[in-house]
Amino acid sequence: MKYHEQPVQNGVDVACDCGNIFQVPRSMKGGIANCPKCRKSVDVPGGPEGLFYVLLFLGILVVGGISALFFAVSMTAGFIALAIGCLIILICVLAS
Amino acid sequence: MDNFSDNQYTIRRKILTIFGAKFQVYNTAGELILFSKQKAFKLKEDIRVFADESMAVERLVIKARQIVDFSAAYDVVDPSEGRKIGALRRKGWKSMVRDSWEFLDENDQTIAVVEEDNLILSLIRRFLTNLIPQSYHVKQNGGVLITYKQNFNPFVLKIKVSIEADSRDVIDPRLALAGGILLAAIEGRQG
Repeated sequence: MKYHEQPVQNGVDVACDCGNIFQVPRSMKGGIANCPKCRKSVDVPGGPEGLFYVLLFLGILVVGGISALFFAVSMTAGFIALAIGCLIILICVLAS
Repeated sequence: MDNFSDNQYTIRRKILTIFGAKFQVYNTAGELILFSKQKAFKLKEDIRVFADESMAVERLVIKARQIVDFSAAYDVVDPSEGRKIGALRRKGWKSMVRDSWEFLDENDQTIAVVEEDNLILSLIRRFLTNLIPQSYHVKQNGGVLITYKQNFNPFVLKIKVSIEADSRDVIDPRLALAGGILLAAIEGRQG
């Protein structure tokens, strides 16, 4: 099996517990790679997930919009909608 | 502990579970060799596969790389060896009309492709009825290495895994079973 012991173009640096630092393709970001030196699996740094934050932002917009509609009807309904929306978003963030 | 020497396995997934899902993998003799309990409400998939229902010995870890990923990739690790065996990647766009996956080696190179049996049947399953059992073929250079065949049962999802004898050098049987569990877990959600 071939390993990326040589630097990979636009690769991601991975630091293994054995002290070895090696590179893997960007497609492996957030995943797992085998260290070429000790052969053990190592977590590849993931970094921020753009799409997740975009969806989170859209979720906040939707919650805000729906809550505003309920606020127009009554303050209590608005607060309930806002609380439920915030709870759903919080669960999504915690589950991630 | 099973050394995955059989060429036939059965993956069973209970459909009627309220939260999460349970998977059982049986060998040819009908013995339980793997068990997994998929957690509900987990955005980043992390499936732990154990030797039995006591969940004392971890045999495989199937972990998604990203929380939100259209073409999601899942790394498969054998915790007893502490090594990654390979990975599976779902081809997002292609899977919209016909489920399509790739088997990747530990260096992320494609070693085989997985495709739903038939384009027409896959379209019928998507747009008319999901009661037609699915079949998947794992192919390399046109040759079939592994077949996943779903049995018709609306309450229990059963997938028969048939590994061709000469395919063991290409795809590790543990990776083949991880592929079957993923198909049951991810594609099974369509049901």
